[in-house]
Amino acid sequence: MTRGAASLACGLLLAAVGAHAAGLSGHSGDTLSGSEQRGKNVYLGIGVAESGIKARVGSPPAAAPAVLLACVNCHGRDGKGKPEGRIVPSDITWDALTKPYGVTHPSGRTHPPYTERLLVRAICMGLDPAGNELHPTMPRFQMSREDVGALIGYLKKLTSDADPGLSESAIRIGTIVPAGGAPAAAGRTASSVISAYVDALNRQGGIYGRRLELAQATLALDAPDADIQANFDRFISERRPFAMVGSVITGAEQSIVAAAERQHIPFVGPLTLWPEAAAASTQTFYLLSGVQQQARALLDFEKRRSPESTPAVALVYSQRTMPAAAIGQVQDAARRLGWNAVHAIDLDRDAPRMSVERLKTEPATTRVLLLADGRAALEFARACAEADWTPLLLVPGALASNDILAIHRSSPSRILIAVPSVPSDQTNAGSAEYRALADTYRLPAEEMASQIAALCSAKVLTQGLKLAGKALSRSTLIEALEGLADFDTGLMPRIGFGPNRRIGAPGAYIVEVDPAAQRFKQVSQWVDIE
Amino acid sequence: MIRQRNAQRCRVWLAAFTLFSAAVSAAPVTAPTGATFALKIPDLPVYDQHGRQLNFYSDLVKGKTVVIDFIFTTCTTICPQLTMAMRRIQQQLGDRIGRDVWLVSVSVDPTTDVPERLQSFAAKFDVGPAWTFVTGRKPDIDRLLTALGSARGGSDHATTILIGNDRLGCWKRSSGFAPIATNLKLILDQAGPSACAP
Repeated sequence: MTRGAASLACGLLLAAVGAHAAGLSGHSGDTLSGSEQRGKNVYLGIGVAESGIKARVGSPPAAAPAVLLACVNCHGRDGKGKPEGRIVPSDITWDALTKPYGVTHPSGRTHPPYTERLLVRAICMGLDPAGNELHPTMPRFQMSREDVGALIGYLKKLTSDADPGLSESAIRIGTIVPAGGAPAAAGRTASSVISAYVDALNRQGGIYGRRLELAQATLALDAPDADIQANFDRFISERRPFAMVGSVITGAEQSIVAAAERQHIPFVGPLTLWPEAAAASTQTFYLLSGVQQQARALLDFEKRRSPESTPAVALVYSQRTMPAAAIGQVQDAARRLGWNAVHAIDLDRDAPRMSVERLKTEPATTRVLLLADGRAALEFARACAEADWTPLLLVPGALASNDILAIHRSSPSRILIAVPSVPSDQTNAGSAEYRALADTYRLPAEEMASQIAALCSAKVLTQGLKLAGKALSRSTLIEALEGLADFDTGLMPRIGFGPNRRIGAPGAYIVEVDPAAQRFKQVSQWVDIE
Repeated sequence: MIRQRNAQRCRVWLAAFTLFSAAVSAAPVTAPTGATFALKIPDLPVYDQHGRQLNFYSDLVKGKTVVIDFIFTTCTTICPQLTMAMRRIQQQLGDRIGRDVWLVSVSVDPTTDVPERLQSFAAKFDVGPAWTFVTGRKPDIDRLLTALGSARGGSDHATTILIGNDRLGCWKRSSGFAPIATNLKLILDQAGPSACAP
């Protein structure tokens, strides 16, 4: 094909796309049209694979995964560009692109203003209006004319586009209530605390003049993953929450957190035992440690107390309780902390008595990290007692519940438990605030742990919203939360996050079961595992 | 169906445009200096993306030809692209990777980039064998970065890659965004017997 023919062919495409994009520009107001929303998804890199969008990048351009090259990555949520490593992505807000006198870039590159057609050419072919090749880090995208038209339509709205659930007068916050099963009671109670807190906050004027509105999703957490995701996605698209807060999501962590991540929704304080299930999350902020962090705190504490330089510990687990990957991670953590001969016993595979006999013959093993709950843990403790073997049992509090006292009755072993919070974390002000809320809103006296956790989630989210200021967006909220340090809820350890820190209080206290008094005795200060 | 057809069309136009756009001025990327220099690389303890402890010099550099770049996993702009460029190098070198040439990506944000984080970052780019992602204790990584001439951490890290032949003791610098052919030639020259020829 000659250059002339190529230009003509492309010209036809550009004309068609231009017309399509122009059709969108009549929309105004706060909400995006369907097409603009589609353009926004392209901009944010949502559903890129499904749309068949492809990218070429580098010098010379070569195929690269488009999903890793979303516009927002370099140009930012506001379109103004995030310079990094001496690469300065262009300001692609519509006003900047179409300045009548053109643009001179810091590199000296200069060009007349963009039109819609020229912008399509830049996106697809990497050429600016003057025909200069764009920097090799700007991908050359291959997408349908509908998608590129929608993207341009969205670029025109970029400056005025507020995140979903956000208006001048309100911020909509979502919560999840389990539809049934064991977590339902905890979920309902958590939700009622959040409602009470939000109502009280609104009566005091809200946050910078905006009221908080609650939107509640009732989800069956024991449904297949695909159903949970679909139901959660439907809730998000219908109710459009700006952020999520403090919900019981036990058993469905993976699906819900993945969906929140995919939809770029900040999620503060989901109540789960497995905050590590989403270690690479960016949107999700957990308050307290879960099973894995508590296991590490126990190992750290016990290692420091141990006179041996390389003490031994047996990991006794049930795969029904612990995902295989989590067991591997605890094992790695144990080795890194200087533990030796980390025997792993699977209670689902090996009968407890056999396991105990096997461990007993290892003379150095006097400690067992018990990563199982319910019956499996109880049977193991009984087998220890029957074999007259009394290792020190280390139990993450997240797995302990009421079984632990039963275990104690079954075994003369000493039991150390890691707990993410102790009563002395509660300050007078924190307790008074909860009591006032409980009195005013007649909160139930059950499920106190869930109530406290939910209340703290709401307080942390509120603090994040305050720090983000009046010019609120999801990304400013995330930045604000990442900047949160030593925040005192008055009800649990101080909470802080960072770019790589998504567990607010990553550590635990160690308590020992006191058999005489049938209660717990605190034996350590805070064990930080960072 | 329509989308597929459009995508196909776009591809044809794209191919045509690549032809004539090659004539347009090249993008301003830092050209490789070509100058060789010696590097004293400390044998500091580091961790790879699998959490294994390694000694940087003796396990990753000693006696090898290596390409080193600098990344951090919370970077959404240039790090994915640098990693894609490294991935391209890896693919183009085929079975010479792990035999003649090794790849190393050093995190400039070791506090954030724990091994698990490096592993999930690497997985996104489908990194193949003989490519080690490195983190470690901050003081160690800081010393390493200083020794490698990439001391400025955080988001201001350079897009430089280092290409070194340790057996012959000489190193070159290039830009991770230089044309792939340029970097491949540099790497193959460095892996060859005349690596340190002036």
